Amino acid sequence: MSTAEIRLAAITRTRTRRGRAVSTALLSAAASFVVLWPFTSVIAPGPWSLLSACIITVVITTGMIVRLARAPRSDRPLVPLLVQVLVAIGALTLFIWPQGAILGIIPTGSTLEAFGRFATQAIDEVRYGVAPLDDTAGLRAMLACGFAFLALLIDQLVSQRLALLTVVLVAVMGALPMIIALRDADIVWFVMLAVLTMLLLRHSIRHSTREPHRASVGVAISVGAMAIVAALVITPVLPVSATWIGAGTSTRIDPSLRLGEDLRRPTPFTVMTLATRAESAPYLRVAALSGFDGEVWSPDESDTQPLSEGFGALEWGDEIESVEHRTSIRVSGLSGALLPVPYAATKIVGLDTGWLVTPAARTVTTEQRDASGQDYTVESRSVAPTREQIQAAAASPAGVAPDAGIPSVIAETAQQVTADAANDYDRLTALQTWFRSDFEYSLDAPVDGGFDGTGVDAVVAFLEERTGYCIHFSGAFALMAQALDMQVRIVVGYLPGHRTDERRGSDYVYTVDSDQLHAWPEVHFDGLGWIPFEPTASLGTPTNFLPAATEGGASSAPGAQTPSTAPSSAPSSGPEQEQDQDVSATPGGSTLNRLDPTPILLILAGAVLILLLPGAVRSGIRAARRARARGGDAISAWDEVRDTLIDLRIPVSAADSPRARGAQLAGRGADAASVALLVDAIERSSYAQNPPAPHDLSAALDRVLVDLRRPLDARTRVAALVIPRSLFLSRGARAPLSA
Amino acid sequence: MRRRPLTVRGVAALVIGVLCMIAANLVAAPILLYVGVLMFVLVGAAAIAVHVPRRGGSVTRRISTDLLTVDEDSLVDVRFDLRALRVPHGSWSDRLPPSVTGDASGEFPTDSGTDIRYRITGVRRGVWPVGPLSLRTIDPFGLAQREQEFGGTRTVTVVPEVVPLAPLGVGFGAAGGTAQTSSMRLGQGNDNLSPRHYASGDSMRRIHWRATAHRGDLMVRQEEEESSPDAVVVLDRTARRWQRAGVDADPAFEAAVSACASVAVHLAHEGYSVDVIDSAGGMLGALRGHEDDRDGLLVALAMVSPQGEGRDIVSLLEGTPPGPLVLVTGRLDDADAVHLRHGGAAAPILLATDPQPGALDAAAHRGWTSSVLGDDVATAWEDALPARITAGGGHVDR
Repeated sequence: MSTAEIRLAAITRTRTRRGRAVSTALLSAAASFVVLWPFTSVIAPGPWSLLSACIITVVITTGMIVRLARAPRSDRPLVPLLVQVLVAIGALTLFIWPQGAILGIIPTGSTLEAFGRFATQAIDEVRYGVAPLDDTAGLRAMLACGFAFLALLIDQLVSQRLALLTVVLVAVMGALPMIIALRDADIVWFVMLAVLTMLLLRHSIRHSTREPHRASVGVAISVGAMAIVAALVITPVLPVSATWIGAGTSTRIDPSLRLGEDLRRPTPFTVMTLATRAESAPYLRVAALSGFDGEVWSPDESDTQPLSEGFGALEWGDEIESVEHRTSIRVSGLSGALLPVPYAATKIVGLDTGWLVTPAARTVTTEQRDASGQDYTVESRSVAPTREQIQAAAASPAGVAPDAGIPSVIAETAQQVTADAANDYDRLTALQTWFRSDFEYSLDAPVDGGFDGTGVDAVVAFLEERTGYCIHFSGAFALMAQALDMQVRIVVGYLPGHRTDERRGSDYVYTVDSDQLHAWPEVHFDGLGWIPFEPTASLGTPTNFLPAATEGGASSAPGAQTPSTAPSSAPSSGPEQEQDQDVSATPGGSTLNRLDPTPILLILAGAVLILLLPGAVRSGIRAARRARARGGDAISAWDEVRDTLIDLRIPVSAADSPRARGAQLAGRGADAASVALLVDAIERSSYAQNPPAPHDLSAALDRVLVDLRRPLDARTRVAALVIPRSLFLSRGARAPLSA
Repeated sequence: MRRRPLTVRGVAALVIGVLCMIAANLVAAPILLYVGVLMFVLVGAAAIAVHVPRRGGSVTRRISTDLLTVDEDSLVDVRFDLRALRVPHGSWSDRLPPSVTGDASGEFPTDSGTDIRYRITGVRRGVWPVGPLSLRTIDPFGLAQREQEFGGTRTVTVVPEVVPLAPLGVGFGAAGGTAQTSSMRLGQGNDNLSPRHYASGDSMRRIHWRATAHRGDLMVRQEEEESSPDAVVVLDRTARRWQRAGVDADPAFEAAVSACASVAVHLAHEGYSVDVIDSAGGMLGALRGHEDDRDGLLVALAMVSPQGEGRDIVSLLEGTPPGPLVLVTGRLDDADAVHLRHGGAAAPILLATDPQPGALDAAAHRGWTSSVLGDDVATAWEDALPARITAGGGHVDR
């Protein structure tokens, strides 16, 4: 090779390297911003996004500049990487903690210390925070570091043409916020990711030395678009996205009062479905907490007995009215050793052995089984005293003397609120009314205020802030009732679910979601047992027993259902029970998991649409050409004739003159006069010195097209209609078609 | 199809898709499900785009040199008539036999459309097929691939190298009795032959009309006494004289074949009528002064390999002792050399690739002039020449 050739090759090589450096930088930047995007949804807006974007830009621009400068010599990745690392460190120091750094960019020991502090701070925030996280200095610093590293990594991967690895990295890092926050898929982001995937794959192949690097743009775009559209259409109907995840996710109730994480889950899912004849669903309890050590409520540690031995006697006498219910429950999204039951359960059908009963709390637990997938029917009986009866009854005195650790403010507030009440029931309803009217429900306020707990301090803070969620309401209520010397406990369970449109026999079907996890206090009355109250503002139904004067001595309390249904449900218990058992014995009853045919229909419609698309496009082209032919455009008419020939798989050569092709057309049975008209028009428009006056060619064109189709068999004609070959033909590639 | 329908990258994309599916269900992240499905669909769409188009085509190859000598370059022109809806982008490669080297691959379509041209170099004697042409296409994202073969094969004959040798200088052959002269005019045009006057008895066909017109008398073409002296070149292909045939070519045998071809062509140029035979008596070729003779000999030599048992040389000579007798052989030990007879040839020359100690001396006693045949045929030939006058057979002036 001569020196001139060598120099030319070197120049070409430099040019390709330069081009690659620029495209690498553009792609890396795009990929980094695709990663950055989803983080904006879990971190509150603030300077962090600008900072991260700056760092990304700096890192990638550095890489590009170094690669451009080194293009004439080498394209090895080590030097750009080193420079990028140094620049990234300098930029991070400058942007985040320039204090104490030499010249503001060279980190020193104090810089490292600062970053260590930021790291611990950020870790704490991520661990204990709730999305969206606040944009604090620590989080900002760590995000900037993370994105600097990520941009570096992506840049190197792209420059090494490891497209798939880059895609995986971008997808996983970008999906991270969605995974952690349990958000639904962000479709816009997914489309961005998909387009980026195509670009990365194409880029790596284009610059590959081993693979054929040229490709038709049309093919690339159509393959990519097809893949994106198909992924968008297919994925939502995959069973995974809705039901599978619903079943795959299950919650596990911690039998202590830490419900915050469960309640703050961003995407609630169905925990169980229940069927009951009553107009409203019962509260369901899973555990009762009666011990309080000043900080944490702990579950009862009373004796358990096998389910077969029953729940023990009811605590109220015959003179007190009670309502009987039957509830079928199917647990789908709850796992663990605790089974939700209504209060006060007397009998459970449909459970196998291994389940234990805690008679004192009337809860069901197990040591070997799992609540998930259980399907059972509970008979329960809720007490419904008249207001006079409960007013006459006294609350049992709190077994333990109020601890010294409980601040006096709680007792004082209790006294103050209940000053007007004459008996225990009135005191408790006064408390309940006070909580429900003067407090606000908020899941986030306690986290922000730093009193997300059940301890005494949290209760005091709650009484000041007057905002919180169920554990605060019930905790405060319980402590105040205890201060009034009443025996209390806190019950953890679920609110009544939402009634669905479905019916199971004569029963209504309710679904209970994971965010209906709840806690409420109960007070023990002598001769009546545990009476639930509902202090939580805006949730549930407050306890209110009606005076005897009204019909039936009605009540309304958590765990008790409206008694109006009692008369109708009472007489027919015998046959109903069998029916309930039947229902509960068929897991996965068809009524609950109805198949929704819409997605399948949509897919079918989409597929048909896609299949018909080429034909539609071809028809559009034909219509346009016909319109032009009507205006006398001979070239359009002639093009249409040629494309129809191609569609019909009739050999056609680009070398044919109009006259020769006209003869061919006439030979195929086309109307000779029409052909002559078309040929004459095309020849005139091609060669005539003075273009002839345009006249309507569409009739002749139609005639020729019809004549061409007529002798062919139906299959060819349909194929020409549905898959027009002329559409898929690249320009200038018409010659080989004669095959 | 020899290649898998997916590239390594395509398989990796599928694996990533599966992993995304699993991960999506482990961590309840629908977005990973989207990524997984995208991977599957992308690979599927790529495979469809690559594998669905129907293609056919025919290939005709033209090699600029019919007989390719070892180490000689030649240009292969491939005319590729591709029948397809659209010309695909990809890379072509022509399957080359081990006997030739060359960069028979490149991008498709080439700069000149579908016409392909590449250079090959012969490396090993033999008759081998070139082709078929295979076209490998991948999708724009490099996930799916397809390799299709088009057309048939064309044989390329790589013949042994013929090297120029030093002239014998003096004609041998008088000892044979039939050779009067060696014509120095072989290959010259007829016009240069001197005409003579017509004498009765001359054939009418011999009349040289142009000279007749020129002189005004009947002239006939001068009848040259063109009986060429005979020369015999024997290629000893007795199996035991050569290494066991393996996959690779035996360089010694290749040198021997090359020497055989060179000597035969050289002797023919010097005017001898050369017979090339192998040790079993099979005729490999005869050079009688026609162009085709040479090609026939080279093609025959392109395909020889060591085999069978040899016969005594004298029995091969069919009675009349030749002028120069050249024996090209391999491993030669004492015992063989002692029994090596040249049957009264004028100039018996022995070229052995692997003579055992003493073998050449023993052969010299029997009247052979000899030398060791290495890689360089010309040198070996020159080494063998000077000895001919003293130790050789009869030396007859023209």
